[in-house]
Amino acid sequence: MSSNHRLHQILSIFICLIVIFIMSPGKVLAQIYKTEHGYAQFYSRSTLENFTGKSNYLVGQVNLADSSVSFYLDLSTLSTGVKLRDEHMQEEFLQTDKYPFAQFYGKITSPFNPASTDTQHVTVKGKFKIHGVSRHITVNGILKKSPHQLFIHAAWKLQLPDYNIEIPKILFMKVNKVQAISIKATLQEKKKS
Amino acid sequence: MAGTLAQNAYGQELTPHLAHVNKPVKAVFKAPTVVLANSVKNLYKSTLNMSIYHTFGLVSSGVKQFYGLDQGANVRLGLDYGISDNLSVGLSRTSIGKIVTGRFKYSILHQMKDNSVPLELAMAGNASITTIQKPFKGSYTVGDRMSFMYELMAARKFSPKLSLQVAPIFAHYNRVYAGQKNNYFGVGLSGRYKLTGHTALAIEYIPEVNKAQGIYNTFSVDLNLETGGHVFQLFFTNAQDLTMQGMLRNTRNNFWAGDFRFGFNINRIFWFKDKPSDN
Repeated sequence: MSSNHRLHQILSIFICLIVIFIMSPGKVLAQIYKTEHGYAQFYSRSTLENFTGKSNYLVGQVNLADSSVSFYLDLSTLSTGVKLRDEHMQEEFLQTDKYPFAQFYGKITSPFNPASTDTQHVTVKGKFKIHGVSRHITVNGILKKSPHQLFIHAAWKLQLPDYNIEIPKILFMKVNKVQAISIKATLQEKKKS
Repeated sequence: MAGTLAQNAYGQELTPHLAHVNKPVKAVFKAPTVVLANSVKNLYKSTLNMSIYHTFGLVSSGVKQFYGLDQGANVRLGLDYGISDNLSVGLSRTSIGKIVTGRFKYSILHQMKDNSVPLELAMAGNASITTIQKPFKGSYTVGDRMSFMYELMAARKFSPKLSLQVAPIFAHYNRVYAGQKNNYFGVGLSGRYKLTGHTALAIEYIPEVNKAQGIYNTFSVDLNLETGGHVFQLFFTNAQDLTMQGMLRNTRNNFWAGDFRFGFNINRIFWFKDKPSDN
C-alpha cells in the first residue's frame, strides 16, 4: 500500500519533470531575440568638423525572460565615409588589431512587460568594453515587440578618456572627447533548434 | 537534451566573432615611402600628401661640420594627390641636381583580410629632368636631361606589427658621363615593424645588380612617428640622392664604413571630400 503510494508519488514527479522539460524551452525560447545586422553609429561633433561613423554589423541578443542584453560590434566594420580617417581611427585610436570589439552585457533593470507590444522605455545597466577598458554604464532605450520580432533603440554618450582612447595632439582630424553613440536593431525571435 | 542546451544559453554573454566582411588590410605601410624608396602605400582618393624629405651631410664628417648638419644637405619637396584609391600622381623637386620629378603610383592588388589576395601589389614610375645649367660641353638637349625609374612592389602585412616588401627597380638615364652606365637595376628589400601604437622601425636595403666601382648599395634605417595626418620619418642613410634612380646611380658612401647621414621626412596628408559612407 505504502510502496504503491510512493511509486505513484515518484511517477507524478517524473511526469511533472517531463512536462516542464518539454514545455519550458519553447516558452522561454520565444523570449530570446537575436540579430547579426543591427545598426550602430557614433557621432563626433566639433566646431570644425562633424562626422558620423556607421556599421551594420551590430550583433546582439535580448532575452526578455531573464532581462539580459548582450551586444557586440566588430569595430573594423565602422566607416566614416573617409577612408583615411577610418584608417587613422582603427589603426591609431581604437587599435582594432589589438581590441577588435566593443561589447556590452547587462540587464534591463526597469520594470517592463515582456508580453506587451507597446513601445516601452527601459533602463539597461551593465558593462561596456572598448579599447580593452570595461566600465559600468547605464543606458536608456526603447523596445517594441511585434510578432516574432523585437525592435530596440538606445543612445548614450561615451567619453573617450574613460576608455583610454587618446587623441594625438598633433592632429589634423578634429575629434571631440565626447562621442554620441546610438544603436538601432530589429531582432528576430530565436527559433527552437 | 534540447532543454539543457537552451538553458546554457540563458543570460549568457555573446562571444564576439569578427564580422565576415572581406576588406583590404589597412596600412600595410603607413607612409608612401618605406624610408626613401616607394612603399606600396598609395593615397586614398581626394587626399593630398605634402612631403618634405631632408638629408644632411655625413655624420662621419665630425664636429667640424657639426656631424653633417653644416653641409651636404639635400631637400626634396613633394606634392602627391590621389586621383582614385588606386592611382596617385605627384610632382617633386630635389635640390641636389635641381631635379624636377613627375611620378605615379598604381595599386594593382590589395591584400585582403581573408587572404583571398595575400599580397599588396603596386607599380610606380617617374620621369625626372635635371635643370642644372650645363654639365656637358656642346649640345645638351631636354632629352639629355631626363631620367626614368620603373618599379614593381610586392608587400605583405604578416601581422599587425610586421610588413615586408620586395621591389625590383629599373632606372635609365638618357645621358651620362663617359664611363657611366645608362641603365641601372636593383631590388629594394624593406620592412616595417611597429613598436608601439604610434611608432615603427623601418629598414630599407637596395642591392644593385652589376654596380660600378665606388658605388654602394643604399641602406637606411628609420624610426617612424605616425599620428593621424602626419608621418614623420627619422633615419640614417648612406644615400645622398633623393630620387630613386639617383640612389642606384650615385650612392657613393659605404654605410658599414660609418659613412651615413641623418635625414627626416615629413608627410602631411590632407583629405578634401566628405562622402557618405557606403560600406
